[in-house]
Amino acid sequence: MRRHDLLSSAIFFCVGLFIAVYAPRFGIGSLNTPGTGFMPFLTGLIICCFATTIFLQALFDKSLKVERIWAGVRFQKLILSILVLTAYALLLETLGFIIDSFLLILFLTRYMGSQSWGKSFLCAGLSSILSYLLFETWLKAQLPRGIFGF
Amino acid sequence: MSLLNQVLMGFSVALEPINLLFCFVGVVTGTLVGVLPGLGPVASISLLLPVTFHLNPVTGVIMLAGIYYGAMYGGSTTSILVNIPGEAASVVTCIDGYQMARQGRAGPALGISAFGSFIAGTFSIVALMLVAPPLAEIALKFGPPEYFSIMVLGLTLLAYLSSGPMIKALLMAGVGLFLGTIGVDTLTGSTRFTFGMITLMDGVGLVPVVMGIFGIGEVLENLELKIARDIYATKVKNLLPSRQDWIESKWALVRGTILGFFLGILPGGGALIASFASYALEKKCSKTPEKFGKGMIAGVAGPEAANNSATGGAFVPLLTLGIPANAVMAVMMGALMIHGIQPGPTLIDQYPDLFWGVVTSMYIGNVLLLILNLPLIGIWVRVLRVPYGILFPLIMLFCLIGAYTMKNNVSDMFVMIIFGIVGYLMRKCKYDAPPLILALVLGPMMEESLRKSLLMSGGSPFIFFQHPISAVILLFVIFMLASSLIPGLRRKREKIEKIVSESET
Repeated sequence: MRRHDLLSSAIFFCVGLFIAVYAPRFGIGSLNTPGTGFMPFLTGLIICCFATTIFLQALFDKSLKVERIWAGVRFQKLILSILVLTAYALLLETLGFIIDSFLLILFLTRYMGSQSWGKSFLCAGLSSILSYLLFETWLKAQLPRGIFGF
Repeated sequence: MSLLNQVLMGFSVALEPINLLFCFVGVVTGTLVGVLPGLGPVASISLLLPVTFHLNPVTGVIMLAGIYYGAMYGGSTTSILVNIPGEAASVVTCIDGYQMARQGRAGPALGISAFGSFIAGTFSIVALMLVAPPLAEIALKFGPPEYFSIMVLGLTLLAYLSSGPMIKALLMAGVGLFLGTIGVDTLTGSTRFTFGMITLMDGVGLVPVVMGIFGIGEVLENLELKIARDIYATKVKNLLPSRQDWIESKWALVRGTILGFFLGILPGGGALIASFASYALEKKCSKTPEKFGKGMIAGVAGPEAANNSATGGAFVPLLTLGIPANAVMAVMMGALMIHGIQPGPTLIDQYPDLFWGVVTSMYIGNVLLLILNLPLIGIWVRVLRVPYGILFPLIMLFCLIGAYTMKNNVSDMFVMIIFGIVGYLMRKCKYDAPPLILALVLGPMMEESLRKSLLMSGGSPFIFFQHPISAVILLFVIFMLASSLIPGLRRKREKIEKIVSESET
């Protein structure tokens, strides 16, 4: 039995069911004149069908091999990375692009990439300034300046 | 305008200094991406997508195309020297290429893969030029039922040929189709599944989804792997293949080139399938199949030619039917649509500078790659030594900038982070991402074709079987789905899935 397949297919089934139940609010219409909710309703049903098949396949899987997909996961690193990315997005307009990017790269290279302080500072400085020059100056993208004005 | 005039016009566009510069940037980036394990062409094209927002569409597409075929060139370097495929289409090259390197023949292996890639790339461009215009003429006669059936075929083929279980790939296609329906309904103008969020009014953006799944998702997974970078301790010398090498690989090059082009055209096909099919074909055609896997040069030449030829072929359905053949082309289509260009049968007539400019730039790009790949192999090998601890923060930063600059909206960054987590979980549970991306792009078109077809037929779903072309395509889809249930074929598929997943890890 592949537990991750059982769990993932059950989640997908719930998602499909939600879509199929919610779609009629937008008007399914008829085969003659399909409405706005027609396609989402159909995709909801499709997701439910495939999810059920995967669930049944996993349930009746006779192989004794247990796949330990979470065995090598470093949860601390994983969660920290996601939190850092979220913090970057939250602080971007306040701190401005250069400072926010500098802090992001510094943190990631030093603590996630296990690089020395020197290398991390160099990498953070170069990448934040070069990417600013590339996008803001050269490609005329408007990057946020933040409370410090740059 | 005659073909020659169109080609000359294309060259005049491709040789403009700015286009030449971005063609160079594209092929160098592509080679770099191909060399670096853990970053595929889909991720890198989406990483550089924001760069194209502020460029002329022709220049932007020239650069993105350069990344795609450049990655195919670069992928062979790591396969041969490190036994790690830089991107999935080079998985097969590892088998004989690495053995050749171990025998001190890394030079000829790299040489034949570069020359083979060049020959195949050039052939596929010529074939693209010849095939695309007449096919676009035919496509003008297609109606909604034909379009709907072609898109169903594309999604089913991609699921059928995916590296993971087919049923999971089909589920992903379903999820992609749903994501494509979020936002404004183009036929009625009303919104759906936005839950009052302004960010979702325009739909789920392709860029944040692709960057999240392929960029962030890949990085999160790689954080738990120890990427081996033990470069085979051999001095790369004698890059030019000997006369004997050419004799041994000439038919492999021819077969790989032709096979690759046609498999590239096929919706759902692409470079990965082409390289595997070419290797199998060479083994079958060889008088000494037992030598494959022990350093046969034909085992390097065929797949390398095939995966490069497939890149040219993959442009055919996009530029003529407006249907992307694979996930890379789906991103490419997204790039065109960002610039307000709708790929399809009228593209060649409406934007001749774009079509001929991009196609001829591929010639120039192929020459640049040949020049780059052979003398600069030493530099690419050094690039391999860049620690992942420095590389991944840069990938993350680029993903974040890409998502933000799309609409200067922080919400898109959150969408990207969410899809990054989803992408990571998909990788862990072996759900293939390309069908989701393709379905996300095709979703709105598919819905339009389906609803128009039903309106045309007065509600009869049999309309898809009343139109001959559509009927043939759908029968083929049904046959394909049924064949996946045949035990013998299923076992064979499972065996291939196992080989692919083992070689990828």
